[in-house]
Amino acid sequence: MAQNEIDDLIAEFNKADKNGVDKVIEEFSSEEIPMKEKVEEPIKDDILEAGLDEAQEKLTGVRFEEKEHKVIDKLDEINKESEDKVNKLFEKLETINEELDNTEQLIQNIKPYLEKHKEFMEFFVEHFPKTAVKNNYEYFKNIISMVDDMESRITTIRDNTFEAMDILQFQDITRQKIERVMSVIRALHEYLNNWFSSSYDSMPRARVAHTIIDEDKKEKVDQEVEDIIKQMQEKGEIQ
Amino acid sequence: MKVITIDDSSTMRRIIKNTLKRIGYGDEILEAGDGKEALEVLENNEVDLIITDWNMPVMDGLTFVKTIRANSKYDDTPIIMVTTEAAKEDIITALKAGVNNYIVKPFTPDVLKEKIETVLGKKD
Repeated sequence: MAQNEIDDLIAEFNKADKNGVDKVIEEFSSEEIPMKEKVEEPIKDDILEAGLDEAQEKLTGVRFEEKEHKVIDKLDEINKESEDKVNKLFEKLETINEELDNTEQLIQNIKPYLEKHKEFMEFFVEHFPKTAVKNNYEYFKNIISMVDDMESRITTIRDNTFEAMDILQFQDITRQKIERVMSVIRALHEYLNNWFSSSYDSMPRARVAHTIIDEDKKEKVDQEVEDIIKQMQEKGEIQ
Repeated sequence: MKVITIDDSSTMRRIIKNTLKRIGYGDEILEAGDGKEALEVLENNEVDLIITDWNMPVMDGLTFVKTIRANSKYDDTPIIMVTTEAAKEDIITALKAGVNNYIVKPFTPDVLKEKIETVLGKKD
């Protein structure tokens, strides 16, 4: 639901004639409930054995801890936890990249020796073509080719870790989506007299994102940004 | 080159920092979690580029940009805003406040590189 729709809904709610509602509540409160109905309600033995708290749990469904009711605090915790985990994931990816750098460096250190050995073997093959050195030379060329292949695989793994790092931007975008939900809850909170009570008022908060675009529209939006900058530059509104 | 990245998300700061290193702008990267913290960092540091988010607690990116631009010391410091805000009016507001270029999240390293090159080119 867009923010303007929420605002409209809240305005509608405020405009509504609450006298009618109050009247219904009053009638409901004053209505006499026959005692017979209450007394004759069967009480199951297992509920009595389980004790009052558990009985309440069985009758009304899941019994939440007090903290669980504080939806905004809970969502804040979720955001915080997700940010922590993503940072840990990022650290792991950075460690993988460091190890890749080290491995690549080792290969770079080995390569000059391999090249020297190759030259040495080429010299033998050239001067003693009929000896077993030729076969060994072929094996050796394969080893060099495998080392090249290892280098290429390191590049592929590194590119993939970089791509994974870029994808982790989802955490910030998801966090802002949750912040938007929180802003709706906060608006409702004001109208529902602490039904969703929390300590949110004491925390400084970021302005809620108005627009979070879908990934499939990203290219179009990027082009729009470029067009706006260009237009404003042409008009001399910005440098 | 000295860059400051301002974002209330530590993940985003990390991503931007990492991307800057990959694209060759990672000599020295300063960080701040909101506009106010950034102003404090800038009191003791001169930077060549500012990369800021918009939606942040305490002091948002737009207020930060306006504050910076009100100080002649930062007239020529390029500012790139990296944010989820993609509405046309928001982009125009940011540009009018003094942002030199604008990136909508999520971004790719290529886009960040291109925008940095653009704003630095203007500086020269």
